[in-house]
Amino acid sequence: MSTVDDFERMLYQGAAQLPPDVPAEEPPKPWKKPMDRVCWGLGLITFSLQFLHLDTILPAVGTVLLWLGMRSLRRENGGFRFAFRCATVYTVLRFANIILLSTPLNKWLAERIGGEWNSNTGTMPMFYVCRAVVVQLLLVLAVGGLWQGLKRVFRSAGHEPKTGCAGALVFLEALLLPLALIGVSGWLVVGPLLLIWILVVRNTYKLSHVLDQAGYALTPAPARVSDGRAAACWLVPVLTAAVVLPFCFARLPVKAETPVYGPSDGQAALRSQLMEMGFPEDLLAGLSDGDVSRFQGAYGVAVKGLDYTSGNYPDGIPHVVTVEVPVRDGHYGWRVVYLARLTWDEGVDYRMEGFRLRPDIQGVVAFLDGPAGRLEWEADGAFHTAALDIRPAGWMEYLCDFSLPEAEGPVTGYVCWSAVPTYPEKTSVYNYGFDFVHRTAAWQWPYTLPTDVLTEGGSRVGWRQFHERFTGRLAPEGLYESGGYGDSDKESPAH
Amino acid sequence: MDYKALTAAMRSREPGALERFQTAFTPLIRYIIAPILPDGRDREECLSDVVLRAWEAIESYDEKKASLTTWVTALARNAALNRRRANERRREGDGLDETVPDGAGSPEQSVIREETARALWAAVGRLDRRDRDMFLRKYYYYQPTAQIAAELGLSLRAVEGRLYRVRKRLQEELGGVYRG
Repeated sequence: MSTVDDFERMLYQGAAQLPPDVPAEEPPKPWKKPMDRVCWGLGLITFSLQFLHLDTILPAVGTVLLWLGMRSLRRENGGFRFAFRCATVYTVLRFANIILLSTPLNKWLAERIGGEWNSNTGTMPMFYVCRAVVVQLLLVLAVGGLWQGLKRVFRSAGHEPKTGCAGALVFLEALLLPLALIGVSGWLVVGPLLLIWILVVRNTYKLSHVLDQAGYALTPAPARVSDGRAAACWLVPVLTAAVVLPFCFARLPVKAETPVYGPSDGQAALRSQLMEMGFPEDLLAGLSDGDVSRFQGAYGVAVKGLDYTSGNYPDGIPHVVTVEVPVRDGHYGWRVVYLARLTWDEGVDYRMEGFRLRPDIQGVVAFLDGPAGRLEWEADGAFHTAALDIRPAGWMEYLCDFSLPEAEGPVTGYVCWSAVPTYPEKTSVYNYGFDFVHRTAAWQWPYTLPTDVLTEGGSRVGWRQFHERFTGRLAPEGLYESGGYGDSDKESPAH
Repeated sequence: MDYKALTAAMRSREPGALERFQTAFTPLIRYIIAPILPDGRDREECLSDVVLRAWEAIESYDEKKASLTTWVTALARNAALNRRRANERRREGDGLDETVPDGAGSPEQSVIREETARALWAAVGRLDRRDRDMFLRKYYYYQPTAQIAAELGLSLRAVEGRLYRVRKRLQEELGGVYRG
């Protein structure tokens, strides 16, 4: 201290003089800040508020508080050191989790790993469950390290450990794991648990006062980076990832192709036969010869959903026309081919679209050929197509996620499938429906596919849904009546 | 621990009150005197002095002015500083530590010192909470920068930088008084 300058010497002397008004100043309390941070961190991590994305923001703040608290304690003893290491791994995993949730990686990994976990609240991919278990176990280990560290502090000061609350905290954090896996919900169970948890954390929070009598001083743990900067170094990338990455994955890739069609008069006879039976001319004109050949052996045509020009469709939802064509079939005797034309108006926001095709449970059991489909549009003076990736999802149910291409004019989609009834000798009703979903929000977190919104059910902010139901008819030749159910039996409950 | 009951017990000289006081405050006293007295033996003697002084002076403690913790803290700090000053005087030949305030001087010097101290504390009172805390740790409790950094969760450079800014601000405010 001999190198201190004159002013510093005067500060020392001045501070030693007089009375100062120090009475109001409490002495420094080394345990208070780390223990406060650990308790607040645990509180913010454990309880999530499910609105305004607070279920992501608050645990992110809680994670960094827990880490900072453990960082200050780490030099005191082995227990705290272990807790600090667990908190560090926990922090890294939390960051990785945010990245996964902001990108399609999460779903990709879940599909790759496969498997499902059934709980009382629903089914979850095994990957999500394993990840949650690892993260919670790390938290339990960190709190366990804290408990052991606190015990050692008391013992080294020659006191009986008063750390029951920290032990209870370990037990409660561990208990949350099986409860979450079983899917326990309801205030009767969660309410008392919440109350006990709050009391336990409150007592752990108060422990810093008791610790003042068990050594008071804390072995200083030097930090290369200040708390504020360390918190910023963690929170800024986390929040940036959660904000920016969803914009990067706001669209699904469109694999555009420029088709080369051969001469289009190969199916002229079939085309005119279909037109005679009532196949809409404009729709037929848009079909390739390959499409038209599906209707070989047609003995009827029924068109549904023709009121698409009424203009009452919500933004982003396509106009739908479906054509039902029963055809003779060498294998089953007959089958019914369905073609749906979906038309999206120009100027919809090109984000994500999805649809689900499924039979109405009121209809008969019918076997379907898996639907196939494509999008067609014009851009840069050229005609483009892109195949729709329609995937099965349960019994006779098909899902498709895609993004509309940025086109000069409307985008048209075609979906084609066929149905065969269980009893081909009878006439049966075959009701089917399209559920459409359109992403309206520019930003969505976590990363969600349109069909996730459909399968989860219920309305969701940032998505518009629309359900169309059609009445179809499966009938052998001679019994089929095109107009049997009318053309206006479409119901459109919009959400 | 119930400090009111402890104060009352000490005042009425109840058996076991001193032991209770020691249990409650020995860690705090050690924490306060450690940065001021580097020598271990000095610290132990100072600790005994403080406990004895608290026991004897408990009548003068006014609950309305400060908490028992604050009172003991001031007691410990002053005792440690006095001991350090005495040690320095004993080793006069080696030169005095210039950070340790010298209580001696003429009445005129004493008045000037009081004036400057008042001005300093007024300026310290105007610092924000974090700066004031740092100032007190450094110049009142004599804590080394490394300890301040570790306890406040700051890097050494951050503490040095902040202390530099605090000193600069105080120098600007107290320029007239503290020009040496």
